[in-house]
Amino acid sequence: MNTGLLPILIVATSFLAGVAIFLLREDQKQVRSVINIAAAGTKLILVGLIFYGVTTHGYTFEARYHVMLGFDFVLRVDQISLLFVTLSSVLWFATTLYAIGYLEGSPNRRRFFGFFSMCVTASVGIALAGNLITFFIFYEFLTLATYPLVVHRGTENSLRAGRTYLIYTLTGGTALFVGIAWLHTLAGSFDFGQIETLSLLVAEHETEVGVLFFLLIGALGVKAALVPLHGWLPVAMVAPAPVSALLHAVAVVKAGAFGIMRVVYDVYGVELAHGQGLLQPLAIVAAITILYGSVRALAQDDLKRRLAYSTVSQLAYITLGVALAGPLAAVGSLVHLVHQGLMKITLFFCAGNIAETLDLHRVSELNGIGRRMPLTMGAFTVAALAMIGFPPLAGFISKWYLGLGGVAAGEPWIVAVLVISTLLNAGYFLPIIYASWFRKPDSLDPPLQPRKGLEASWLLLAPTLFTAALAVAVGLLANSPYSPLELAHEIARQLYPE
Amino acid sequence: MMSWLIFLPAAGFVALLAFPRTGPLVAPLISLGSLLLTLRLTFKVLTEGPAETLLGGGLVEVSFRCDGLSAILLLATAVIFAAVSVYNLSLTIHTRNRDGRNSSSSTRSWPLALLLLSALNGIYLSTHLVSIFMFVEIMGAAAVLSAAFSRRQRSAAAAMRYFFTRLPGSLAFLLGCVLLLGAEGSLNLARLGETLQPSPLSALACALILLGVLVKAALFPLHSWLPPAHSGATAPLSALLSGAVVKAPFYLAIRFWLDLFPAISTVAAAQAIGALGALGILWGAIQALRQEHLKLLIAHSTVSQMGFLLLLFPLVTGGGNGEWVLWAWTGGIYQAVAHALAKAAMLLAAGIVLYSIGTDRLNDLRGMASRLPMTSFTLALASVTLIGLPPSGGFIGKWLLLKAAIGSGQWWWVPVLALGGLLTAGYSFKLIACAFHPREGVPDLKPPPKTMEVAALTLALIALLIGLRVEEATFLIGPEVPTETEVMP
Repeated sequence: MNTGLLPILIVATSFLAGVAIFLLREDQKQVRSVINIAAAGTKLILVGLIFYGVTTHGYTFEARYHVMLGFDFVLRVDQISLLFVTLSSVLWFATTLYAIGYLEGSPNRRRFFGFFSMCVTASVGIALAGNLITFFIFYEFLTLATYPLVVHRGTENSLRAGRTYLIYTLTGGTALFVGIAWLHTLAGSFDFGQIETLSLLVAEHETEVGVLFFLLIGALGVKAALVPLHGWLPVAMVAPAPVSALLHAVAVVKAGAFGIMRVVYDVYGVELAHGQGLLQPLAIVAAITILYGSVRALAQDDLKRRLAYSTVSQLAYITLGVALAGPLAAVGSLVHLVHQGLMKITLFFCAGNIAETLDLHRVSELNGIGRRMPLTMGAFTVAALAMIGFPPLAGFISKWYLGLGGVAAGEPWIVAVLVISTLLNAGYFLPIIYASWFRKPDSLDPPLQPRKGLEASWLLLAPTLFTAALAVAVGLLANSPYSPLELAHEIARQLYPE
Repeated sequence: MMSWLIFLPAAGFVALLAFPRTGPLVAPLISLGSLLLTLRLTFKVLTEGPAETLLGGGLVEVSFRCDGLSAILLLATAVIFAAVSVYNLSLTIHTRNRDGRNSSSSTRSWPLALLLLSALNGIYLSTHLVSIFMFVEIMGAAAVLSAAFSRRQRSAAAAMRYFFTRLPGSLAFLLGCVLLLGAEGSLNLARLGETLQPSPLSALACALILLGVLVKAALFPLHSWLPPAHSGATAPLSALLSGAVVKAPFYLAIRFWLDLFPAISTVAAAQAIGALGALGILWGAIQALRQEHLKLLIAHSTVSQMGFLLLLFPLVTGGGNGEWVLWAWTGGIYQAVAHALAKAAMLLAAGIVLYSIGTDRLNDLRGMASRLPMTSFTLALASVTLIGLPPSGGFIGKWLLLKAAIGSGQWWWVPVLALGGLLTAGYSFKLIACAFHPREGVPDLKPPPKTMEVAALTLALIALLIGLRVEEATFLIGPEVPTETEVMP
């Protein structure tokens, strides 16, 4: 069975929700919330349908619109996009609830939720894009949709962050644009997965193909926050917590990492990229990024900033796994795409809870906070331990496969990188956990004392606990059918046939 | 049908000179009728191929021809005029309600708009250099008057500058025509295209004609008349000037390049035009970045965007023959049409800003995103097209130009296109960041009429949506592109 309707509907649900929200008045809060939740729910159901169709029946879902010669707009579901689209739609649902709770009573919510929906439209579009040009359309759309979210508060600081964000991403976007146009001029247009196109070309245009690879990866590396192109990410965390959560877990940084995955796996093909020696430099850059991000995270006192540098580091795991040609590394990379999202969104939710409820933003202010907000800090602890790689939580699975992949690919130094990075992870997460549970609060102010009832609004707590539970579940149940790990195995089997 | 496109607005113009008060009634009707006629004509060209009418022979023969290229530009012009008419009508009604009478600027703008429409349609349909010259001069006169009619003193000076820069251009054009007439004995474009032989004289004549036309398209460094003239005019007229009018000389330049100029269309000449275009892109964008007023920013952006269009010349000439020739043509035309629509939308939006806030100083626009959301959205949407972000018409234009540059091996235009896009993003986001800037102590805001806001938004949306239907445009342009471009070494 082949139907193009479902992918279109999946993209359309959030787009139409966004348009509807823009058409509402600012004070129609109830209607807006209903639209938000209904759209997120609908998308979840549609993605469920696709998931079922692909995994159990092997259906293909493809929608194609011919714009002009050499330019098709293609939405298609394959295994990799299934992984990403499921992640985005699940996390969108959680973040929507969270954002409704978080922005309660603040101004300009119509604008916020309108662009929020557009942002999700873009990341779902990125997941489903069936060729480079479609990918690029949503990739740029994402830049535009996130800018108003980053500057949402309108403060001097956030406007400056927005400017930095735009300078980085638009320059990256332009480089990507040139790269794609160049590739199309050279090879004509082709869909993801038709890797023979470039393989045929490489004999004649070896240098160009190599240069193009680094142009494309460099352009995507801006959003994927590869050192030295990561500068925008720690700055952009001035955005409201739900935006940071989404930005760091599924939207912007993931778009970059996912793009790198697409270029290596579905445009060049591992064999070609590996054979031309293009992957080794990428692995080195990724390893540097992993260490650099972790070291910088150690020195940050601002909680969200620390988390942002942690993202720089964690994201590079995905790139590293792609760059180490081999099935085990691929599994690690693919599974980390999901796991990192779950863990990081939980951490940002927790940071948002603390900031929203107690107005605390610094790591040094968190002494004894576990007694005041046990659920939040419980979720934080779980997610942080998972990040460090505590077995059997989510991060452990990723690191395990990456390490194995490194050894299998004949690059044992990767294990050393992983070990050092794990120590650094522990170095910047454990002090927070320790301080929050075991230290005494600095002051005896009533706000920091335990109290009866819920520690924060349930709209903030429920999504946090939900994503934390997922981060545990994907680790504990990693071997059950339809888990991210199983999907990753399935994809790796196709990428690296025995 | 084609003669109606010229005579109907001209008749409207005469009628309005006699009865100025009927402007708000007559002019929108004619604009709308003209849009319908153009749609029918375009459909006819699309299904039956180029259309021709011969009205009379003699010394100055009058015949009209509409091929795909003309049809596309006619259609863009008609859409802009229709939207501007709706906008101006709404503006007239609202200012009348307040003052109890029509303001003088809106009374004057109606006949001028009709005159511009008639002249533009004439330029796009004429096949004879003399009638083209005539229509260009009518258009020029109307444009100069449009720039002059404003309450501000500055506008008069700007209009004078406009006039005096155009004048040498017109003279060069005329001189070129005379030389051609002397050498070839005819000024019919099709006939000249067949018989014109390369010679120093014909090369000189063609160069003069091309120069005369390109001055009016704000070729760098002869562009400095444009920003003051376009920013000084009232909103509806500035939208017509910066959106529709500047595209006519560009059209003539590529029409001549295509039909008339094998004699001088050398690689060197094309590269020189492209280089001036590149300088215009950078210079206009840098100037736009430095502006503190919305309308001046938009007007400088026009200088920059016109530069992109000039890249068409080197890209279609001298890269050999390949599919990129069609890419370059389509890309250039797309860029022109997308810019026309988006720029008109921006200037209409700027008019709304002036109407509501009373000033267009960028610092005074702070907080606009929450106070004038629809207008801010229009500005943002139009910027998306100007920057060339997907899926807008500007994106298709840039994409095709970029592919043509790479395909024809002229890689040096790639950084120009990339940098130009980034600079466009720079000044666009300067504006958008202002709109998002919070503001204390909000002064009174006059709520703008919804119709005006919708008219501007519609243009911005069309500029965005033309990126989704490229096949028809390629089909219209395709046959006009010479399969075998003869190029002198």
